[in-house]
Amino acid sequence: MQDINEAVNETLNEAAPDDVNADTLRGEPSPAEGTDESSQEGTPASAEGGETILHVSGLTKSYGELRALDGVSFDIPSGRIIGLLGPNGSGKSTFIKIVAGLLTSDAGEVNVLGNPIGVATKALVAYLPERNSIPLHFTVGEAVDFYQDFFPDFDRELALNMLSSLRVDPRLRIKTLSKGTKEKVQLVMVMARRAALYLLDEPISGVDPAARDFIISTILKSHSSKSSVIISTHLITDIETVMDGFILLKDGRVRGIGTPEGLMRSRGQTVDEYFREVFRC
Amino acid sequence: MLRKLLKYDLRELLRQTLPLIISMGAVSVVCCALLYFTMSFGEAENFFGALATTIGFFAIGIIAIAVMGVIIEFIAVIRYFKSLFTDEGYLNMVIPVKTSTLLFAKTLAVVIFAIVGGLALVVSLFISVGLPTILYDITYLDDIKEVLSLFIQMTDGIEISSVLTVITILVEFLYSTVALLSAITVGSVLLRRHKLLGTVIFVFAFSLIKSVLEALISGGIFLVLSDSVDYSVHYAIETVVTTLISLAFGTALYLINLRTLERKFNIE
Repeated sequence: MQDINEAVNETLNEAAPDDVNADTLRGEPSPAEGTDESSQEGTPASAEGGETILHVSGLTKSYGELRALDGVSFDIPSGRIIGLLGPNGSGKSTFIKIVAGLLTSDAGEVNVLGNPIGVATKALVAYLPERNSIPLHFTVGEAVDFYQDFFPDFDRELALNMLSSLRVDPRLRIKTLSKGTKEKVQLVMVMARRAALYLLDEPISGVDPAARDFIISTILKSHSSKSSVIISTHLITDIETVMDGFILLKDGRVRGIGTPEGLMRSRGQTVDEYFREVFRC
Repeated sequence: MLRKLLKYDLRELLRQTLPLIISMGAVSVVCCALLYFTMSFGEAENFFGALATTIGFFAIGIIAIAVMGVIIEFIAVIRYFKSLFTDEGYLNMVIPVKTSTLLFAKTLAVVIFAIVGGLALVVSLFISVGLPTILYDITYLDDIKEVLSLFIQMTDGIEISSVLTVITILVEFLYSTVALLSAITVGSVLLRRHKLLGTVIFVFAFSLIKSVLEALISGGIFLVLSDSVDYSVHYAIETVVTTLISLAFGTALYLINLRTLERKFNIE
């Protein structure tokens, strides 16, 4: 069986012999784009696309002996929807928690619009955790009030309109809602912010197909050319059509960065097929 | 931001504890009525039977009031835990406020409701015991006064100003709250899979460290001062030193709590 490192390197050699450091998340896809294993070493500072929203360099995080992230580096420009892909334990949630400000890194640099992670970046980043984080004793209306009180970029009207389209009564308590409705309400709260960066941790796992459609359409409707979205998931087929780019994580290291179009051109594979090849058991 | 943070915590705590506070009031009114009417029938033939029944119900009522007072404080502490170390923490820890502001608001909410619980307890006990005394001129308060005067005679010569006493009580109350919250934070972060066990371990650990500190410092003071000052001055100095230890150790624990939340925060 061919080693995945060789496979990726072969692809890079065939597809982008003169540009192995190409940051394929930047700008429009080019014929040279495929996967870029070398991005582990860092990416160019200037962006062909929009303004750099997220800059990550040499990010490392360990839990005791376990290295959850190991020298992760890449930049994400504005106006992109990026799939952060990898199996369980690959470091996706750890990465997202560090950018959200829930965890501190051991080494490396993370900037959001040039700001190191802290209070300033929390105002720029909208984070959707894997679990329902809205207090269960809140009513839906109180959740709207809470977001409005603490997030200056929260669009109350947009949130209420989205809730209305979902036919969610603002007087209902969160604990009385079904699991799917709780997830939708939480997504509405997050996506009703005019944030620079949206971090969505497994937003479509554990929900029915109709809810997935709602979640994906909400993401598409809410994000603008001035913002970017990182979606952590292992359900690739559901988001492949909306992804502008992807980052593959394995054992805390970046195993590939690219665009679906670039991958199709260079390897004739969809992201899902490539993912299955990389992470074949 | 502090006001907004407090608003949500206090509103939820009030919602949870209001039924308890009302229940405490209701039980205390029942106790008061029981005592009053029993005393009113003092000349009745079956007075002692009625008195025994009253004492039984009265004791249950007082215990219920005390338990409810403790539950109010328990609810406040649980709210601190839930807002930071369960799924709610994913929201509370990403709002754009300094961790120090967040921790201060959470601590203040617990302190406020610990005071509310204490006040509800005192008022309820007053209604249960004190009000019948005023209404019916029951003289058992004189007995209590006698016991108190006996105690004062036993501790004759020990004079601590009332200001110092109030300060000591306040500091010890704040210390115990801060120590408990710090134990919850450190225990929950270090023993992520056994948060309750972690909390219990650190409650005992902090208590042990403080006791050792107090014993060492108070012992040292006793050795230095034993021959040179009289007992009342020595007692006052020891009280001041113990209060200062609580203040210093409580501040240290608060900073440990803050540092833990800032650097090691990790919720499951």
